[in-house]
Amino acid sequence: MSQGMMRSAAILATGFVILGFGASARAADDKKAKPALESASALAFGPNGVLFVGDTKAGMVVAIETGDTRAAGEAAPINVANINGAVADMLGTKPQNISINDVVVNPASGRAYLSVARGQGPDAVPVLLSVGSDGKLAEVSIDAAKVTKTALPNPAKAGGRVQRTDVITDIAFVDGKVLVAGLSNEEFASRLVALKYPFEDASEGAGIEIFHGAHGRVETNSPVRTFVPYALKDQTYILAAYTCTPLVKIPVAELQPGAKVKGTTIAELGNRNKPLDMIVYTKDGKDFLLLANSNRGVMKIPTEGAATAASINKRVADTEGLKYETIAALKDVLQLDKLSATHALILARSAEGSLDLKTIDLP
Amino acid sequence: MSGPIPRRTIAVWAVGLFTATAALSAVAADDPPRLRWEKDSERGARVVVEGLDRARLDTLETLAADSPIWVSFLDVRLAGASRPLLGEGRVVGDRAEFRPKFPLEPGSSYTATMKLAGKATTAAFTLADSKPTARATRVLRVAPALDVVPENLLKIYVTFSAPMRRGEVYRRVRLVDVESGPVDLPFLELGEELWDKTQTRITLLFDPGRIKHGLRPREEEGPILRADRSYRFEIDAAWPDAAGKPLAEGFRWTFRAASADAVCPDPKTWKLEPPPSGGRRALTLRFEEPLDDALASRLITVETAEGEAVEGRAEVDRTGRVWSFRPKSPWTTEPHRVAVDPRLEDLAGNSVAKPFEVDVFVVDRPEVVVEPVYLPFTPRGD
Repeated sequence: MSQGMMRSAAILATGFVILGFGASARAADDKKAKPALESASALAFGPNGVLFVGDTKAGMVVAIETGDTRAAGEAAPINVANINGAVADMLGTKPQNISINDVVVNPASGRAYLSVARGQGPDAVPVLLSVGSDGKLAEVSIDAAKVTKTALPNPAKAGGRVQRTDVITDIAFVDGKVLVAGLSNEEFASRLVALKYPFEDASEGAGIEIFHGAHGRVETNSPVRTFVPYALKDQTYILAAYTCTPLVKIPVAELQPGAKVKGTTIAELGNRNKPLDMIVYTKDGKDFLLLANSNRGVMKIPTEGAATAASINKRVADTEGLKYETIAALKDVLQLDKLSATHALILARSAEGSLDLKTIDLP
Repeated sequence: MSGPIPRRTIAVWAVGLFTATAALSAVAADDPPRLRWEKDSERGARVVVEGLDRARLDTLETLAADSPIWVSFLDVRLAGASRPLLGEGRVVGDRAEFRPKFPLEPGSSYTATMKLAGKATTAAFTLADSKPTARATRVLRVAPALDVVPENLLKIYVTFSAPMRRGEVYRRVRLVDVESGPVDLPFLELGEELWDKTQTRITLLFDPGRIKHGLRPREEEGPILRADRSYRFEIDAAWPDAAGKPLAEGFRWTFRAASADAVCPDPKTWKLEPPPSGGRRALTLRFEEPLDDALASRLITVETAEGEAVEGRAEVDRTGRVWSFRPKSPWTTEPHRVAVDPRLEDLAGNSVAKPFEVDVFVVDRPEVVVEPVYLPFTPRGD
């Protein structure tokens, strides 16, 4: 008998207990607790590396203390070509089974965070990934982090087969509050929700009804698709794009539980188009809004007029109100976030169909 | 447990980047560790290394499950992939294991490469393809599949017999003007897609910018549907379900658009037919116009005169005009009431509370209804 075999035999003689232990430990691990996330859609960073995740399936907003607060100086560019392929490789599946739902930059560290779904069916698994300038993707470990969550008020009664969901379309952290924009798959209504963070018990009345008035006259209850916080003349606003295309401003101070708020239209973005994502930045002493659209490319809109742009009351030739410039070099941009004072991070579809994470100069 | 696994051994130069890998590099020539895949009910399979000596196992045991040193020792990836799989390495008894974080995919091939003492050993594994589901998924219900709808129709609900695949909806449905051909971008296209939790029902919203008055999309292109024209709503049979299989067949609904509806549904005009007491016969309500299928099923409830909920099952028929409610327990002779939530909408998004769009310049506007509307009834004593 060789030494190795003797050793194996010795282990076999005593190893039953050890193996038994191993097996029971594994069984305990496998017992599934409710996952921290049922789905992951819109993302936003708060201060100190707190990542807010919209969990549409659970009807929750989840706050994860990532601990990623190490400032890397000036944020270095992040470029990952074919990131959907790389993510698919990591998750052991095909690129067509991966959805990248949102991309945001942690302002505390300059790292990019991605919300991903593995699978396209109802049992799709949410995964959060982060990537830095080295292009190495890493899973954001939720188990080790401090996680808190709060439920969004859902007017559908529990029990029975409830098919109503609120699809979360955007999240932002503004003045100590998490603002969540959503859209129901049943009633046509907009309920922007303002949640205090650290989370308190969500009250049923926390929803804010958002209206849109065309030409100051015809009012509808219009869902907000995407929005961005913006400080204008000592007041914080959100600049929001409705599903029916107008761009509006709403003072954050008005976003109180139970309030009915009407946004002031500052631009119409044109038809056959839907807004996808937006950021605000400063260049040469002027503020601009950069807006990614489904059909009209990326628009650069100076915000100068936003303070004074009163409600648009009559029709003009093209996009009304604020004038915009289309950035021809930016095509098929799906996601946008600010990386630094001079750079933005975009997720764009290439001509070959892959998704590329790219750092661009702010135009 | 383990299935037939092809093995091959390749010699490569390993570079010890970490002290721990250096500790793993000395290996007895007569006792090569064995690398194999083992089936696992939860993940499909895991990678197992047996025959490592205690010193190496102890070294591995000190590592965190996601330590990069695990990858430098045991690299597991989808065949041809650029990056290793996410997963965790651990020592269980006298063997080292790598468990993929996510279940392996049926029909896909994976490779595990163990690097030890300058040698690389590779084992491949293919998870057998899953059995095809016996029955193809079908379109169960489209609401409102009526012959005539208002030109400002706001929503279409499509219900399937099994969960569907995301990321497909807007290229799998289309609206065709029977005379002039396909209508461009009729629906609001949301990347998030408006599914229910089970992914068996999708909500399609007609582009509200083309319904609402005073907005450029409508002013330039007009409404999507125009009164007195005929349209066809089509669902492509190639739309894959969650299992990746196409539908049993496509779906077509042809309808005519009528003039716009800007009037709120008024529960006071509905006809209520009280059920007989003592049994579980259905209570029915007949509406003046078809109402939103999902909302009518959810937002009309039955309670006692004191406001206590009566349990039961509510349904709206395919005409959208008849609502029925069958109680769980037999009706008593006590007075009851139907409670109508004012968020209930008709086909054009006019709710009991307020119309889809409100012209604020009109002075004598009806007040917005905020409280439920109650319709009292008493089960018949016959």
